[in-house]
Amino acid sequence: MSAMSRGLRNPFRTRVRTAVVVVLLAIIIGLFAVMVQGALVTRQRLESLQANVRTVIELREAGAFGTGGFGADAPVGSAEMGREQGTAYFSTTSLAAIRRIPHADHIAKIEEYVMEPQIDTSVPNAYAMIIGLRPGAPLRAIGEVDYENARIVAGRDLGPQDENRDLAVVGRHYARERLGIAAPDGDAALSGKTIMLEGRPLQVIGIYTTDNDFGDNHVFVPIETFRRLLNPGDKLSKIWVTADSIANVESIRDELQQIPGVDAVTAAEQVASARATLGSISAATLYGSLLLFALGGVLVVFIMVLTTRERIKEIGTLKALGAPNREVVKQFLAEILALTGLAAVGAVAVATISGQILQTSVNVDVRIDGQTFLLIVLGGLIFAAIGSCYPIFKGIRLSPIQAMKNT
Amino acid sequence: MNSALIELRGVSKSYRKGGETIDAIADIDLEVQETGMVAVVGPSGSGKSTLLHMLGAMDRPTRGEINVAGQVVNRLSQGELTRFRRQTVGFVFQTFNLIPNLTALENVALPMEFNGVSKAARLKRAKSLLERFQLGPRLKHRPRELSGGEMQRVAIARAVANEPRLVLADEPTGNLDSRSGQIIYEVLREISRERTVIVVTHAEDLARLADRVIHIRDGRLLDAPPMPGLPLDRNELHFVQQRAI
Ligand SMILES: Nc1ncnc2c1ncn2[C@@H]1O[C@H](COP(=O)(O)OP(=O)(O)OP(=O)(O)O)[C@@H](O)[C@H]1O
Ligand SMILES: [Mg+2]
Repeated sequence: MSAMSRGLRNPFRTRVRTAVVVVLLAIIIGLFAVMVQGALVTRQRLESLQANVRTVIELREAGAFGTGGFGADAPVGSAEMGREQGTAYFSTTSLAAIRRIPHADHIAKIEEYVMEPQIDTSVPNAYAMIIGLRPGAPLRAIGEVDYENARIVAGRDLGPQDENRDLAVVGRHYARERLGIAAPDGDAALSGKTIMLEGRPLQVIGIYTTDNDFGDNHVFVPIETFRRLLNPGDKLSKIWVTADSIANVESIRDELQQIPGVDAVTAAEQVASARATLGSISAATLYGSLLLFALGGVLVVFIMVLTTRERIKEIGTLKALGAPNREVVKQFLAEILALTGLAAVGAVAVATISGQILQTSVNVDVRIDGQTFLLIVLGGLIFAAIGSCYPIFKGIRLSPIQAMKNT
Repeated sequence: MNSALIELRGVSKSYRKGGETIDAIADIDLEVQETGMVAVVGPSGSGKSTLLHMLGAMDRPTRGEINVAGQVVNRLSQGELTRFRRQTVGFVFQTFNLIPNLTALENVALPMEFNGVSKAARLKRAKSLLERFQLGPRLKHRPRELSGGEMQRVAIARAVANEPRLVLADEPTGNLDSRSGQIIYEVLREISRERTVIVVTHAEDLARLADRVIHIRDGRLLDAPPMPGLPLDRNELHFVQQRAI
């Protein structure tokens, strides 16, 4: 029977109270771990978003608002107007002009997109969009939605090998509303599905989602296929230019702005909303974890102060019997480790459940992995350290007679 | 060898209470021989517990020198005081002070653990001590499963576990009926054959069992102790009656 085993046994002296404390602490530590991870994940996503965005410049037809054809954007068909009037317009000619700007060798990527609305008021998703892109380029459409995070949920994305083939990747919403795919999150859903474009069947090879119906209402096809079937001529809707480094973004943008008929915007504002959402999740999880930390701290301190006060006579007795301070400290450390250890076990369950809730409610991908486990262990140890301060301080300073006089 | 186990020279203990100084112990000189039972009697507040605590290295004197078993207690460091309490003295309390969630056996083994005795050796000795005090069938019992008298016998076994030369008992029968108290005194007498036992008591008949009675009043030892067989002073008698109820 060592100080260690005495301490480990001590929590079982007040079973009901220990159970309550362990459950509360398990919830706190579990949520704490999930929140910290949530904060880390959203921070990471914010950083990658920003790093990405800051090197990307969006080019669109001068005067357009980037709504891609629904609003002030000129639909593809009206491109001829510019040509007829002899003024500059947004086309493959612009691509050539981009390659000629002085800073052109600092351009890492040029990605062109051409879009055409597919309006059918007889279906719920009346305003869909057909988008032609270089196969393999990111599934980008118009403003608002965080396309950087579009992910394939069934089948596969378009790849360089798909150039000019009659293939399409559709959004989850589009798949549901126009293709009648009820559960669009599995490869099986795709077999034999096609969409008709100007009388030609395009095989649907993948379904993507941005977790936003508005963003999931598009059809992406290889740009050559788009041109062949829809005849937009050399017209383009969007060009995305990626600079090789943040340092060159400003000068590239200024030079792009000089190209006739082109509006060049750094995409920062495009993801403002996504960033705001992520930012608030990040802040909420950060403050949440701080709050939980404070709560857990108060709880362990409270319970250990209570325990110490109850045992003051016992500690005094141990000291009167000649127990060195080290023994008293060891016993309390073991006791609080037993308490937080039990709580940590419960915290794993709490983290698993709350991680799933966080995933489905705000789409923050918190995995319950080694890192969560580490956070739980760390949380438990920190709380143990906080909780052991008072009993150790009190235990070392306590004089046996004082303790004896206590009742 | 007839040298003194305990030697007090000019020992005082004062407490300051709001500008007023209370002398709980005032300039005491005292010698106590090795082995035997010494009773300390005196009215409430006379300083009996204070004296005992200083002898047991639980409290320090304000003035004077305390020598126990060749150690100048008032000059020991904190760590040495702890070792002194562990090896030289054993304490018996009025309220038993057993650790509630440990068995009788584990309670008795506890001081030996602090003293670095191996587990097997301390359990063996704890068992034999408890058997010696007629607690053989109670080894695995926890304090709440024992009677007051049994608890105090466990406490005495614990006090002698490390074979201390001095055992200090502060009103060990204060919470017991007279029958159990009688047994406790017999046990204390028995262990006093091998060591010095100093017991603070209000019980007149029990004090009479002691080899020596020290009278204390207002923090001072009475020069002329009453003759053996005479009643204790009125104040003490009052307490004897109170506790007998
Ligand atoms: N920590 C303290 N602070 C102030 N005064 C104290 C303190 N401890 C003891 N005293 C005082 O010292 C005196 C002696 O106290 P002590 O406890 O030694 O008496 P006692 O003889 O053991 O009494 P009792 O028989 O009631 O136990 C008392 O007047 C008491 O009030
Ligand atoms: Mg007293």
